Amino acid sequence: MKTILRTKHKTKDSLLKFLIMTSIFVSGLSSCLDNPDVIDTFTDEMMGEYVTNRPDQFSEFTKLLDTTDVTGLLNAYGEYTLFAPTNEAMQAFYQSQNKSSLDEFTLDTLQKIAYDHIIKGYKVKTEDFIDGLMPFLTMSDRFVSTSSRTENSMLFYFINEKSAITVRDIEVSNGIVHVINHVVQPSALTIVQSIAVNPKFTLFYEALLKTELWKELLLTRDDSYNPDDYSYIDVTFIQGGGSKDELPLSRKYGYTVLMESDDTYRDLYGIDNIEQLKAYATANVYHENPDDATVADITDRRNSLNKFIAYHLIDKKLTYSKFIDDYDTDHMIKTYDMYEYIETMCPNTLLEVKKERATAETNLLNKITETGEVVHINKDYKDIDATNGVYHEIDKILIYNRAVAGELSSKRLRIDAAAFFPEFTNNNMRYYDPSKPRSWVFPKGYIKKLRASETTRFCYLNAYGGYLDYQGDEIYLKGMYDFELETPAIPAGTYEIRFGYQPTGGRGAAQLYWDGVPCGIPLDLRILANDPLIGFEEPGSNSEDPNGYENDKMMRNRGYMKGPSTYKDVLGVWYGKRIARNSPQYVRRILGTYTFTESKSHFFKVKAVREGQFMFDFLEFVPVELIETEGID
Amino acid sequence: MINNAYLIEMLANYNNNGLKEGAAMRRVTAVSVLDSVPFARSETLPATSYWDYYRTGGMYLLRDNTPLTLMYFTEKHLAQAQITADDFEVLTGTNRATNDAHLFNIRVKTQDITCKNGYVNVLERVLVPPMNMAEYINRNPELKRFSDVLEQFCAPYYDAANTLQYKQLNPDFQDSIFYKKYFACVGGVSRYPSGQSVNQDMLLPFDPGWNSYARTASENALQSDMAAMFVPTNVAMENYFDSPEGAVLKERFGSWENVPVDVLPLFVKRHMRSSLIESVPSRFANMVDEDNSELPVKKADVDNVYIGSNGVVYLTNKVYAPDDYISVYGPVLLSANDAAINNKTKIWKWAIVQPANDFRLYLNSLVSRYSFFVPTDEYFQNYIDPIAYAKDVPAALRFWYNEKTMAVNATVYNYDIATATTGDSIGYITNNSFLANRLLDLLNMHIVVGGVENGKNYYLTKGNVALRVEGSAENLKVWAGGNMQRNEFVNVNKHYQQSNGFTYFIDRPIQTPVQSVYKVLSTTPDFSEFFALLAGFPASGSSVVFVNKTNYFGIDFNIKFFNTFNYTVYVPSNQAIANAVQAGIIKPWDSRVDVIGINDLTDATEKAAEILKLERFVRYHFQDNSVFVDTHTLNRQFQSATIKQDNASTHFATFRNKYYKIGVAASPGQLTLTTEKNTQAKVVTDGNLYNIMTRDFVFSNKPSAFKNPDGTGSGTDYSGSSIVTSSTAVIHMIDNVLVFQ
Repeated sequence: MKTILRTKHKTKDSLLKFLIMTSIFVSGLSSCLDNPDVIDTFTDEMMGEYVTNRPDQFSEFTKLLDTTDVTGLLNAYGEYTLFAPTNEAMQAFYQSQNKSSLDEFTLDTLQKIAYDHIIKGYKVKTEDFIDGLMPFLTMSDRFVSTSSRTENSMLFYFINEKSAITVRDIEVSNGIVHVINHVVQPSALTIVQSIAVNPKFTLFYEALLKTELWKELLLTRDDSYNPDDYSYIDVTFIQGGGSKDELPLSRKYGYTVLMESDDTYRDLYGIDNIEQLKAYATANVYHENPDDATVADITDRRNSLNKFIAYHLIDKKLTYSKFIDDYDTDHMIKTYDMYEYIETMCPNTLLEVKKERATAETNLLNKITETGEVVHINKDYKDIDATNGVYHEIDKILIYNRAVAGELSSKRLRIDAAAFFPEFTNNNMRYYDPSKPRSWVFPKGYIKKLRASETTRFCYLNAYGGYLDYQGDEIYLKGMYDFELETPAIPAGTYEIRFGYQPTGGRGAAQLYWDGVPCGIPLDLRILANDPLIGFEEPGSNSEDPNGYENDKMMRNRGYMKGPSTYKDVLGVWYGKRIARNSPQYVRRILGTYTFTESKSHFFKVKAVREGQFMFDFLEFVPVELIETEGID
Repeated sequence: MINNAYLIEMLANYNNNGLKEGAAMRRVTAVSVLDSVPFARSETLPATSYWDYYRTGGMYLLRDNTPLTLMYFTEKHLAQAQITADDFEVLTGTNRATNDAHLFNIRVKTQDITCKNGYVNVLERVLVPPMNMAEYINRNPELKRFSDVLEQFCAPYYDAANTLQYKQLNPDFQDSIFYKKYFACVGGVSRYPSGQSVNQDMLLPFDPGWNSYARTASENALQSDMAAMFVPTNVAMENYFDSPEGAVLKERFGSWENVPVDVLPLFVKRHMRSSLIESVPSRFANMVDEDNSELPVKKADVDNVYIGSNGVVYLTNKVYAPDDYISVYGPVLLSANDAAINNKTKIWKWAIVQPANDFRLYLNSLVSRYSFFVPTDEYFQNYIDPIAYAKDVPAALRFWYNEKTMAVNATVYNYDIATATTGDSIGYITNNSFLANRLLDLLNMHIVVGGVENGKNYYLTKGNVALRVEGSAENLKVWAGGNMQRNEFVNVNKHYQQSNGFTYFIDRPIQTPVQSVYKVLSTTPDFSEFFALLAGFPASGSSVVFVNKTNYFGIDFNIKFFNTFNYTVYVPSNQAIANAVQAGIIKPWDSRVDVIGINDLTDATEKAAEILKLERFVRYHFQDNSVFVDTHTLNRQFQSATIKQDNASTHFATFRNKYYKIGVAASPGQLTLTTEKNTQAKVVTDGNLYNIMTRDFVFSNKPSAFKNPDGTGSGTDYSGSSIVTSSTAVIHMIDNVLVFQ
């Protein structure tokens, strides 16, 4: 989220007064503290100048910036956030590394240290802080966690738990400076290494090793990817929202591990060792194919323990807010619960994440409607960051058992277009900016679960207030495209499958295919929902059908549905701030009714048949059991 | 010669709303089209009627009246356009060294000799001004077959300006000068010499004779690119005619000369490319046509290359037939003309290309596999319209192609349901929406995804209507429910093996059942007990099964929970229901000996509970997916229409909140069902009460809201009615009730 700075000017006297006050305060306590009554400062200096001009506080950090040629960057126009360690913090850092000065570090190390303290492109004030990893990357490509605690009635902010902010929210011409008392030192361990050294999760780690599933968590970055290799891709194209298509800078991998601690295993389940864990898995893991239950080799992906552990592993880096909260954009109507469905490394399974409005709870994992059983992420032990992933402690055993399998097979699975592709999450594209849209164009092969023809220009437009989209974002194509994506595993059953999109006059027509078979005649995306062919009437406009329910049925008979009532256009640039259900510029196409005899992935292919734009907001899989009682959400 | 002085390096730059560096490969030359005005002798004129007037005496004819262009290959442009050394070699037949420059395929031997008024570049060979693509194709005898096709899309047009100018230069000249233009979207003409508009379908993508060819997009100036064409040699054209792919063409027309002009634009378009840069050999694998279908050109297909003034001609040893020719649509497209007396397909083609139907691209999907049935024009009669069927004056329709309006019309005839006979004509329908709607419904029931000759007897069409099929190839016989109701069957007259399946020409339309589930159950005495259970639910309650209301209007009553899909209804015999009542499994609506019926229950709570119980019982006899008593073997579970509401263990381990399942074991001639309670029931096959096809239509309004097809009665015109959607079901009688707990 981008901070819109308030135009506040304080005199240098007041700044001085503030600094004196805070420095007095700091000197009295070992941790960070702040006076909540005086929180904003402003100087018209550039960020580089700000630190350079205060050698008494930042001479060491200035030296670091100069040595690594970063000072110039911080004196350039743009938007930056700087976590500036004091001289004392720098000295303490040298000591902790058994060095006496900056000169004893290599230039590469110094550059990494400098980059660890800078967020480029965003002004992040403490009011934007969340309790966990923020969605902004530092220049060293790492997330930083933020947290706050109140002590002695004072509010304290921390970066990565250890670096206390001693002066916060200093506004400079090109950004925000936060003064910190401890050098930011992100973990240099991979996720497997990080779990290995954590004494809290020894049993899970043992199982991770013995099932050999640790081998699935090793990748960090695709070094073969270089955006310079794709100079033939036009990056001058400007989307309707005003964003210029960007090539991804890198292709990073990421993982998430959800783990029960040793204490949880022991205290709640009486599980003390790997054999007991194995027995628990054998007794409780759900096997769609009963033969799998007899597989004894725990390195076999069909084995119960293997499935149990694999169900805790996700192939995208989901910080606490990226499970669901970051997609709860301003578009989403705050009275409707939200759901995300995440593919785990346990073959052909999904994990449900729920945000429940009534209880104001988030990240509810696999909540069982009937019993209320649910797994939570431990808010006090989450977002443990590693170079290629993040892990969280969970409060109960997370398992794909019969209850979960049953629950998931009877749910409407609405999957946002971005959720199909872990690359968007791992490369920090799936986020919301209400006022500044961004868009990316992807070279062939960048997205693993996507096959596209040479002529396909496949773009992602991240969440932006001007779009009338589920969660605010969309996949966008133009020209003559031809692509096929692989879905997550959909549980066995008979489903009505629907495709959510926004029709506009600039679009073309496409032939849609499900598992290689055309879904009827081509879909003409130029036809608005209120065209007689579709028959949309805005709810409330017909006194004989005030809620539009008869109109809903009529549209269904024609193979369409209105948009859901759960989200809206935020800015009113093009869509009048309407809720999707009320807009003729939103519609769902019913692709058909399909019977899946087993839980597995499927293929959705789209091929342009008439040149023009194409957009893809979501797919939803609706068990036919729900259709008679389905609401307008 | 190019006006303006350019260093070779600078030739690659041009201005178009700003400097475009390294983006130019062509420029207009100083040659005037009037430098020599060719006289076209009569025997060289194209064979079409547009030229007939001049055929005796010949004419002064400019091949084009726009300036000639010079094309060149420079280092900068080749690099920017990513044209490889290999591409260059294929295009020019020569190799190049770094910083070489070529005009067409002639190397510049000495570059940039500075003179007072420009630069001189010395060529290795004399440059004879190349022709444009159309002219080259026309003059190369090896390409005559293709040229004959292409020349059907051009005409002469009087060139007043050049005639005047030429007369000023040559006062003795007393004749008229014409220019040749092609019917094309870009650079061509869209009117015939008579002034009449050329139909959009008959326009080529661009004029291949246009010297000053430029792509349409604003950023594409003349300098930036040129066109390309893949032109099959005479041998390739003949070989195609004799190949399996071309068989339908040959059978229909005998020779290329006889192929009607209206089916040729698709063929020509497929061979025309608007960008040379996107059509160099290294990009052959990326090329798609205007329908986004792959253009499967291989480097080995190219025998020779000619670099013309406005584009490159690749002489190929292959024909790249459009998908329209090779898909299951091909036989329809190619038969929608008067080339033969019989088996015309004008009606079907019209139905396919209606914008509201948009069926052509569906049929052209080459990754799919279809069986496509085509009633040819002479057999398109006795269509039983389901809305007319429900009227006081039932009617049958004959569809026919109106040559004057180039649209399908229908003649309406009296129809006697009892005798299934057609009487006198009672009206005509020309309403496009009506005709497109009914023909779309027919299309949906004339196509099966997959083959129909794999030994089974029953197949579902795209529109969920079941077909019974026997035999193979041209001995294939087909029935749908409507045909069966009238004791008729459909014969295949011809069949074509196409790239994505088979097209079968048939001797009458496949007719959908015009009986609903309600109709069959309510009129079959052996189903009376089950029907009574279904019909007894209070009409205002949520358990009601048969509905007749807005958005559900059909022929009579529709099943409320059907949802544009195909279903199976298992109807327990009357005895089986009686046994179930006797065993206390269900209560009937009305009391009988020793059993108090639901209607006679006095406790409202108990009554509501029994209604719900009965609803759940009857819905367990409705199954998603139509399964027939057939020749195949099958062992599968299907979903019923009753939701499991508890966590009790059942035979199929069905989850809570999912529909209970029915296990279906099929063997030739038999269906055995297993329930969630692990009880069995068999489909009774010793009578005719199995494989009964039904269809629940949803119309735009109730049939009574429309006038009769003969115009009598009240309401809106019959021609304003439409079929919106439908579900189908197959009904079987079973020997035992199905129970889930």
